[in-house]
Amino acid sequence: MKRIRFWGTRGSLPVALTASAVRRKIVAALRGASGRNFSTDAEAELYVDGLAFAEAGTYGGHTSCVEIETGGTDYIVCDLGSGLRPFGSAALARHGASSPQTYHFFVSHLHWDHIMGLPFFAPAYIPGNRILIYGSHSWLESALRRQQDAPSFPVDFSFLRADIQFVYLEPDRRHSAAGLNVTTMLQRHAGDSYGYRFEAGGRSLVYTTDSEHKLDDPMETESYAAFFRGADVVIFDAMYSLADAVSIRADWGHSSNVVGVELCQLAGARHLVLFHHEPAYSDQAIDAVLADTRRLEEITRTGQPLRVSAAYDGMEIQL
Amino acid sequence: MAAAASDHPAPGVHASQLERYVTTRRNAGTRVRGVGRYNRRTLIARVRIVETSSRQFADVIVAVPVGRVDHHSAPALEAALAPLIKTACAGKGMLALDFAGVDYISSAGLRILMVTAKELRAAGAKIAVADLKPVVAEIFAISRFDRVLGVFPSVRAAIEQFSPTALAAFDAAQPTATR
Repeated sequence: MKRIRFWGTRGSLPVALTASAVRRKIVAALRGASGRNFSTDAEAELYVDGLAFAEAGTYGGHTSCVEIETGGTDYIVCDLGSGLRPFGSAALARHGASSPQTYHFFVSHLHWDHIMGLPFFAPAYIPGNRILIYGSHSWLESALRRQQDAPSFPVDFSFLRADIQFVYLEPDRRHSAAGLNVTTMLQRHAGDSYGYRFEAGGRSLVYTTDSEHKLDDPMETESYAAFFRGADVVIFDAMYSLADAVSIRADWGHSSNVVGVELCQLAGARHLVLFHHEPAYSDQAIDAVLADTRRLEEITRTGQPLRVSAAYDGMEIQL
Repeated sequence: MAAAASDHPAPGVHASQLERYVTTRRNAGTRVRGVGRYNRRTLIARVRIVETSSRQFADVIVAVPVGRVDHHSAPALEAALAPLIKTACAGKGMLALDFAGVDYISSAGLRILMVTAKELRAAGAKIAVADLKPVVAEIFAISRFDRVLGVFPSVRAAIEQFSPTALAAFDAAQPTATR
């Protein structure tokens, strides 16, 4: 594994930056630039680089879709959220429609926000492409077919002309798939979800989203720490604050930045990536969550430092 | 109950022996004593065991957990609070948690505080958390628990807001020099 690329990082529902939010960013940036002169693009870029992420950019609004680059020819993707559409467009732009490709899709669960991108994944309509869809739910295939049934969608699943195969992965066992060692772990979420641990070439990545941690069983905590053990990167569902996750949003199936830090510290993981952002959160709110999480890591650190990031659409991480 | 001489480790013993000593005594319901250069509070914190004592002032119960409240030790805190919650609920009083001796609290410990708050509030009783160390105060803020639990600078401030009778009892119990 060489690189991770995020195509969708938002939880539950796609969102878009509004005109008024863009305007506020421009106004803030212009006020910050007051009195400065930018005679070249490079000077302007340098100024923009100094702004907070929420001022100069956006975390984006596509739902879960994460690409793993291995250096091989096949594509590997976790979850088929709305981010799968721009991923498919980029793959087509790179190869053209007449060059068959193989895609490996690992699905955490079948809730809408994690599968809604498949009907808009253009390579699925092109004969010659090969798509292997992996998961640990027995209803993986039926759920993906059903979302394209009338009256929910105008194009039936049978119109997808690529060679599509479904591969069942038994949980808690190590599998060899897409050239990677893959282990899935059952997680607490309505209808069940599964976390993935990918290992190859001495690198390890954990993709764990839509996973609630009830925190009342030390053994359960230890089992997650074992699943995360020594991971280079942990992509973690940090949708809510801890207070919300254990009170008004208990049993909603999601976790918090606080639990993410704790589990990564217990596991000796190296990099925590906050993921599945609450759709109601503004860019500034996610910036604040990231700052809080980095501070928590700092004040509770007992071993090696844990790097903390907040995923955004378009973000890349070198493994 | 007096400590058996044989279960009291000598100074300089390994951390795992200290942990075994503290755990054994906690399970037996006997008081942990200091060992060598570690006084009781330091020892409990070092081996990640949380111990909880309590005192009652009229309709306020003050619980005093000491140590690190992490996913290992949180069940001990939960067990210690259970009878205090019952008493506070029965009298529609307040359970005040004196956190001066808590060095760290994890999500598992915070969850127990949330469960405790729900139980107390459902019975018409109240919860307060007081005298947080700076690190613990930051953990409360980052987890947003400072927005859902009553957090006070001192136990006295918590009692003062709840009950004049309890405050009088609390003040009367303090050593003269600290009044």
